[in-house]
Amino acid sequence: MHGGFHESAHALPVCRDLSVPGCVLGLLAGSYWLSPHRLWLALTSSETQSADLRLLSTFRLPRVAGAVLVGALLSLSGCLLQGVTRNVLADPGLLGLHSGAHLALVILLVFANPVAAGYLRVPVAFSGAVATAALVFAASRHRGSTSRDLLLIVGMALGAALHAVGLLVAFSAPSEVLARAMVWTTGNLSGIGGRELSLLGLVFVFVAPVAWGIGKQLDILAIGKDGASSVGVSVNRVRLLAMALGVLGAAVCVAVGGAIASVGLIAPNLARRLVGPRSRPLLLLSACCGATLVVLADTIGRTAFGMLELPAGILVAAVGTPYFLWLLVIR
Amino acid sequence: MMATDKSARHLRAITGLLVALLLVSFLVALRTGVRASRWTDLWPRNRAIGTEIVYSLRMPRVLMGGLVGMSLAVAGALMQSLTRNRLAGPSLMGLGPGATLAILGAMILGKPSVPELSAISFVGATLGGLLVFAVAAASPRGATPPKLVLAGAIVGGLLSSITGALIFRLQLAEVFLYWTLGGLGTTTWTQIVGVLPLMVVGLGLSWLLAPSLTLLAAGEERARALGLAAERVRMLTMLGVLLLAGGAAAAAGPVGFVGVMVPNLCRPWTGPSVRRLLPICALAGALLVATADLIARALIGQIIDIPLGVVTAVLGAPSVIWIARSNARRLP
Repeated sequence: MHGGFHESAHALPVCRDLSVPGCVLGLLAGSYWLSPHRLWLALTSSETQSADLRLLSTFRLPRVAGAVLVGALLSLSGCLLQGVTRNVLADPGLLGLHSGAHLALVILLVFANPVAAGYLRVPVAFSGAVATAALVFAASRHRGSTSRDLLLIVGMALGAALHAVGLLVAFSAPSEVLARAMVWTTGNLSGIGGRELSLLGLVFVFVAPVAWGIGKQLDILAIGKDGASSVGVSVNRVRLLAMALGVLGAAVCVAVGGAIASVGLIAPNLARRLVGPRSRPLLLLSACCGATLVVLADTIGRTAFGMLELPAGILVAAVGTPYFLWLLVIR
Repeated sequence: MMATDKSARHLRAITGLLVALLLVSFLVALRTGVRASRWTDLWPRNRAIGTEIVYSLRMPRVLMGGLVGMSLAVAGALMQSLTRNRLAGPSLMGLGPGATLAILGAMILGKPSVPELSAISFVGATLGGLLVFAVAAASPRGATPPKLVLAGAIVGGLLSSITGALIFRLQLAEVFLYWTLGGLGTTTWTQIVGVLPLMVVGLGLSWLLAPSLTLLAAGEERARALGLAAERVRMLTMLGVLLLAGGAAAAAGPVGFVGVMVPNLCRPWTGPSVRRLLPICALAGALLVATADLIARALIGQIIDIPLGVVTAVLGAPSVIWIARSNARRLP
């Protein structure tokens, strides 16, 4: 894969300049400010019992790692889905993932007791998201292949309907159900612990290399179905694989962190403006943009507003805006 | 853009069907309510209390449902033609998020009355739309379709995130969530008189712009070569979207689904001509919202009061999927 790295080389400095400062800031800021000097000391000194190190290893490092993984996975997934549907407005939410997860969670909250619901949260939300995506795919099969236009329409319609049903169930249930469902679904990273982190890591280690691997085929797909078939790319298989990866990545994020809306939409669009439409550099830079966005949004959310922390999902768009405006207006 | 005889007949049949369904739902809606009415109550010369209810309470609401659906669907069709993206809709233009944020601000600062809320909602929608357009237009090569789409996504996202932060901070979720789904519960004749001019001007404008939009959608270069002032068409289309969606937001709050879905629903029947698309969209949008409101009203007090936005989505989704599937061959 030497050629692939070569063509992506010009994306690497941008990635580094974006994500490294973002992650460092995420480690420095929190309930109290850790100066860069103390961060360096805590991470490099031989002392293993310092308070700073304990703070980092139990709270901030997992949190930042979770944010990085969620952001990167959501952006990869957005990037893949935008590539396959050839629509820059496509994002994981469009396949109804968020709505499916939300509905599943609301139903869980209505029927299960709170303790059991806490344990079942991630698997139930994941199943809801994946089941919805599967339903969308099944409904957009036409004459043996998945129609792109149909996919967008069916995804939008089914997503809207499931969202509406979810709200309906939540409204008719006792009010604490609605409140808890809101907390779980508005993109909150505070619930990420060791188990969630390893789940995210596992999925990332699977999704990222495979996405990179089919990058070339995705580029060829962009020239058109017939052209791609004639140079030996099996169109349906690549599309299906890309969509399955996209769904898997986004569904895990939605299950673990709730709907961090719009990362999957914003990050690939930002990256496309920087490196152009070729898949491999685009995937790389999207993942970095998304990771940085979520880390920054999460850091601001847990520090800037005092005791009550704001969910990252709410702040992502706000964090991305200035940079986007700069891209759009100046460049 | 000569249509074949067969598809023209097909289109006429569908138009007729939509008109008939709309009339039926209109009549049924006038009779339905907490107090059941007789057919004779619909006769305007009657002096019964039933007639009073029909004409002062139900009639404005039913009419408004039709008007809102019509405006939203046409606004969505304009947006989709303009941006050449079938996922575009009035909310993408920052209109929905702008209206929601303005209403939230007003509710935090004071206790606005219903007409005040309408005005605030319209102002918010307008400001949101202008912001999106200003951002897109400030970029070097002007407000081209891809720039508009991106500017809409990002500004809309920003406005929604401010709304989300305020709601979360002030713990207004339950109250406000219910409100953001839209509703026609407070419609009066005065309100209709207020928003009707906006909608009429908006509908007229979009009818006049339709041929230019069809040309633009076929390719900007070709349209320019034929002497079309693309920039001016875009500005005027935006104005039309603003009037229509702003008026709808003032009347019913942010009702989702209609603006994005109805044009997608109708396009397989009409093909690429925007002039053929708009009337069908207007009828289908009116039918969807009027029927949804009828169902929401019929269910009042049954289980819970169901917001209008929920009914439009639950009712609209299966029909959209069904129609899109059965027309999959003809999807453009």
